[in-house]
Amino acid sequence: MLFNSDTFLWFLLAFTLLYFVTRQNLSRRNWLILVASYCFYGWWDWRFLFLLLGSSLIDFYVGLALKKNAEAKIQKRLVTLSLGANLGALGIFKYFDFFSESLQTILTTLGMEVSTPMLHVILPVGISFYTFQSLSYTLDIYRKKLEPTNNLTAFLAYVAFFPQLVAGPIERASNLLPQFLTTRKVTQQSMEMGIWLIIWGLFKKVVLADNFGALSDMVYEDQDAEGAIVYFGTIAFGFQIYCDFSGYSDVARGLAYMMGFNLMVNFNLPYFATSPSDFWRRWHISLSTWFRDYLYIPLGGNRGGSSAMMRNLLITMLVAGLWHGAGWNFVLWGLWHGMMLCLFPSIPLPRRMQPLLGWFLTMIIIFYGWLLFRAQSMDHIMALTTSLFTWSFPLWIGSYILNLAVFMSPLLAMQIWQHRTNTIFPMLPHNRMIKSALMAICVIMTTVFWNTKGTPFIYFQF
Amino acid sequence: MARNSHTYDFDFKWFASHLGLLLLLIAMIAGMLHVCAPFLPAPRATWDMDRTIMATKADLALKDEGADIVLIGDSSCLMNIDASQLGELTGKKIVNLGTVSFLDMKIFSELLDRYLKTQTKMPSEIVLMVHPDFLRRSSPSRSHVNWIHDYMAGKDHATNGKSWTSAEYLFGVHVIKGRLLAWLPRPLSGAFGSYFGFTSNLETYMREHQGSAVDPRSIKASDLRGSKEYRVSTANLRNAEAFTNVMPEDVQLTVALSPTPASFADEDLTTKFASILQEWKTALSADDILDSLPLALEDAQFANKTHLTPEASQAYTLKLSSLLKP
Repeated sequence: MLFNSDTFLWFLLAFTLLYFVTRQNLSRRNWLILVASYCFYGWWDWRFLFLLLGSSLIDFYVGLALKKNAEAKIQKRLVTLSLGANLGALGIFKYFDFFSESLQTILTTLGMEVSTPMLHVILPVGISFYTFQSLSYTLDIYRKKLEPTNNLTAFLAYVAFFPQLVAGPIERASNLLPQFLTTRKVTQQSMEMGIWLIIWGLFKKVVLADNFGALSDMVYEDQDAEGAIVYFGTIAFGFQIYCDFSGYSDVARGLAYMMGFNLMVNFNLPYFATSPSDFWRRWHISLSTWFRDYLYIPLGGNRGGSSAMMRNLLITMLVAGLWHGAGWNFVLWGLWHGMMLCLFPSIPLPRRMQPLLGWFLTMIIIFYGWLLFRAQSMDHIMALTTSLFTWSFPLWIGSYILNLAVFMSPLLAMQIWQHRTNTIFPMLPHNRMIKSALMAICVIMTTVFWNTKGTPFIYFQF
Repeated sequence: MARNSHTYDFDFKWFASHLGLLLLLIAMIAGMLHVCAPFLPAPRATWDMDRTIMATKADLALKDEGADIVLIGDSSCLMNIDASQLGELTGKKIVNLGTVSFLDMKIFSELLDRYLKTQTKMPSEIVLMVHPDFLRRSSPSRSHVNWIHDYMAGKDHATNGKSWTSAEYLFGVHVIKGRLLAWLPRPLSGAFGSYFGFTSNLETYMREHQGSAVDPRSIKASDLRGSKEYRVSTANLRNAEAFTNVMPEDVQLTVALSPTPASFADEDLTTKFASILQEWKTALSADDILDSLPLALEDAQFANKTHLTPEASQAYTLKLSSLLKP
C-alpha cells in the first residue's frame, strides 16, 4: 500500500477511527497497530507476511534466550542465529540471483560454459529495512545495551510498525520499542508537527519527486542522451530521490507523531552539506548510523591509524552500496562514496572559501554518485560519464530547465528557511493563519498532481 | 486494570479549530479559483501527449488555412502521413486533422465541422484515413471524448469517475491544471520524450508539419500486439452518418485504410479489406476509395501495430501523393 494512493487514505481513515475507539487500552492499541501494519504490508503480497512474522519471531525469542543464557558461547550462537536468519533472508531474496549471475558472467569470461542456479523470486518490499530494524534488537541485547521485552505483541508491532515498515527510518529498538510499552503522550506540538509532516511529505513526493522523476527518466531512459542534458538529468534525479525518500520519511514521522510516537529524523538538509562526511550525517541518518554502530565501529572505526580507518570506511560504504540494491552500479556508488570520504579531508581548501568551495565540491561528488546510482548498467555508466565531457543541447533544453526551476523553487525556499532558522519546523512559531495557509496551498497542489493509484517510492525496491 | 494507551496534552477543541481553519482556507482558495476562473486564461490542460494532440487539432481547426485537401482520422492518419511533405509533393495545401484512436467518428465529424465553419475557402477533397483496428472498435474512451468536448467548448475539464472526481472539482484542481499551469510544458515519456521532448515541442512539431506527427518508437516484430480480426463495428456504421452530415455537398470524400503489419495479415486480407472499404464507403456515402494504397507492410516498418516508423511514413506519404495528384 502506498502513502500516496487513494487506498491508503481509506485505510488511514479506518485506522484512525479504530485507534480512537481503543484509546483507553494500551494492549488493544498495540494489537490494532499490529493488525493494521500486517494488513498494510499484506496488501502488497500476503505471502511475505510469513517472512516478516518469521524474522520477528526469531529475533523475539533470540532476545529472550540471550537474557536467559549468560554463557558467552551460547550467546554468540544465538546472535549468529539471528544474524543468519535475517541476513539469510536478505541473501536469498535480494542477492542470490545477483551473485549467481555475476559468477556465471565471470566463468563465461574465463571460457567456462556453466549455468549457475537462479531463484527468480520477487524481492519482498522493505525487506532491507525491517530485517535491519529487527536485527538491531538482538544485537543491542547481545551488547547489553537493551533489555529484551517479553511482550510479543509490542515487539511484533515494533518491527512491523506501518508508518516506517517499508522504507524507514530504520528505528532502533532502544528508541521505538519502549514507546510501545508505555503510555504515549500526544501534545499540541506533536499534533501540529504530525499534520505538517504528512502534508509536506506528500507534497514532496507527489508534486516534486514525481515531476523530477519524469524529467530524470527523459535522460536516463534514453540510451543516447549526451552533453548538457546529462548534467540536468542528474540534478533532476538527485532532487527526485531526495524528495521521494525524505517525503516518505516525513509522512512516516508525521503519522507516528499523531499516534503519539516519536521516530528519528532521517534527513537534515543533505544538500547543504559541505563535505561527504557531513552529507552522510544528514542523508538517510537512520541507515548511516546503523552502519556506523553495527559495522564501522566493530570493524575498528577510527582506531588503528588512517589506513585502517580508510579500509573500514571503504568496507562500510561498499556494504552500504550493496544494501541499496543487488547491482554493480550500487557497489560502485558505495565505493565512490567510500573513496570520497577518505580523500576529501586531504583536499586543500582556502579557509575563507572553505564553506562555499566545500559545498560545491561535495555537490559534484554527491551528484556524480547519483549518476552511478541511477544508471542501468556498467556500460550505461561509461556512456554517461563520457558524455559529460561532450557539449551539446537538445532543442527542448529550455523547457527542461524551466521545469527544473519550477519544481525546485518551493523546495529550495523551504530549505533555505529551515537552514536559516536551524529547525525542521520553521513555521511553528508563526501564527495559525500563516501555518494553515501554507498547509492549504500544499494540500491543493498535492491534489493537482495526485495519481489515484500512487507512484511507488524509489526506496521500496531496496 | 488496563493501562491507558495515551495521555493527551491538548484539548480536542484546539485540534478541531486548527483542522477547521485548514479546511476553511482550502475551501476559500478553491472558492476563489472557481470565482476567478472566467478571468484567467482559457483552459488548456495539455498535460500529456493525447491531450496535446487533441488541443492542437482543435486549435488548428479554428484557423482559416484554406487547405485544398484535409486529412482526418485516427492516430494512424496523424502519424503515418506527413502533411507538409505531401503538400510539397502534390503542390497542394494539405492540413492533417488526424487525432487519436481513442475518439470516434462523432468527434471526427465535430472537428471537421469546426474546421469547415472557419474556412473562407472550402477544400476540394477530404480524406478520411483510419486503421482497420479503429473500424472494429465499438466505443471510444469516455475520458478523451469528454476532454475534447470540454476543450472545444472552452470549458474547464474535471476528470470523470472514481473517488477523486468530486475532490478535484471541489478543490478547483481543474482550474489550476487547465488555466494556471497550462503554460508549463510537460515532459513526454519514453521514445516520444527523447524525440520531441515536451508537450510544447510536440505541438510546435505538429504546427510546422501541417498537423502531422511521427511515432519515434522502435519495436521488435515479436512484440507487436493486436488482433487479426477486422470488421466495421455497428457503432462506427451508425456514427458514419454524423460525418456524412457535416460534409459539404461539393467537396469530395475519399476513404482509405492505413496499413497493417504483415504478420497481422491473413491470406485473404486483400479481399477482406476490399469488402470493408466498400462497406465503409457506402456507410459514409463517400465518393472514392484509395484502394491502391498498401494494405499490409513489413513488420519492420512499424513503430507499433498501427503506426509506421518515421522512415516508413515518408515512403507511405510518397505513395499517397501519387494517388492524390490530379
